[in-house]
Amino acid sequence: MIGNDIVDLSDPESSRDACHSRFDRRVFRAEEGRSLSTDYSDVQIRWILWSAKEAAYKAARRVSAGVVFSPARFVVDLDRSLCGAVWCGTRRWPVRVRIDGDCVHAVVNGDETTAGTLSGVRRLTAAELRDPSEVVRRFALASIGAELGVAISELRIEKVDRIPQLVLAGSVGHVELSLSHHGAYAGFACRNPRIDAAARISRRIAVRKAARSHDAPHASISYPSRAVQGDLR
Amino acid sequence: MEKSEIFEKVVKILTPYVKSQEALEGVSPETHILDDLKVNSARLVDVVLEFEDAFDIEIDDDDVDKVETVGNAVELIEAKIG
Repeated sequence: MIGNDIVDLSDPESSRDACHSRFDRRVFRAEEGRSLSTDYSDVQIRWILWSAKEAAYKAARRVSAGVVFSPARFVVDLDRSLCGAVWCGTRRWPVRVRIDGDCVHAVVNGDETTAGTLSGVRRLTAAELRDPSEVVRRFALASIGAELGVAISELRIEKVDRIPQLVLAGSVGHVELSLSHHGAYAGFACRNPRIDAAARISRRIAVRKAARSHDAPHASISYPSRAVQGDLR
Repeated sequence: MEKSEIFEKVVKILTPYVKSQEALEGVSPETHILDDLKVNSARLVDVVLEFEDAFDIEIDDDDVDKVETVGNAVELIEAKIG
């Protein structure tokens, strides 16, 4: 299960005083952020923790559409390298947060042990700020297309219950995809499409062979444990 | 408090957080707060806290989760203030 969230620290709504005076008390628990480096400012810590919670919520919604976004119930436990987990009850969501200049990007992959993650971040141009939703979709498709070696026209994004998913032309099923934009940044994360696409292509070949030979369809595909980071800035 | 008065106060509270002025100009009870007005999820926390202050009520996260439209917010507040 995949989720991502991006925060532009330079956006006015990310500034220290932009939030309601009770925001931090409502959203965070006292223990969150204690293990983070003291080099981070209060504002950076606020949005590091928030992005991790939001990314975990997006991943959790793929399991259950009825999950409630109660930020305080998504408890962030990060080490000094900004890797760790978000806990929601007994469920653990592995998370990695990257902070680069003004950009905070959190990626959750609940299935981290069996599949890699492809993710990317891009700064928007002034013209692109007019329609960041469209830009993040095109950015994700271009990045994933490049990873798979297929044309963008072979890919499309569909939304089911407001949850985006990537569909490869001629393929059954979908690849989990998470999109996010805030301020001047757009980001995405998806299950490594090479793994999913390879599995699907293998299944299609197996089904076609079976149809010809009347053998039972099968697919033999190994799922390497690797994470791909596609920072495309 | 009349429902129309609650609606007006709700829209006034939402206004600084709205990213789509076009949607705001045509705001109605059916207007979706996240999808139409483009209020982001972090700002929604601020909006809820301002609802609490403006109407002297408490709104828990389970209540917030059921609010999708401006009308949902008005109905929730109306129920809370009795």
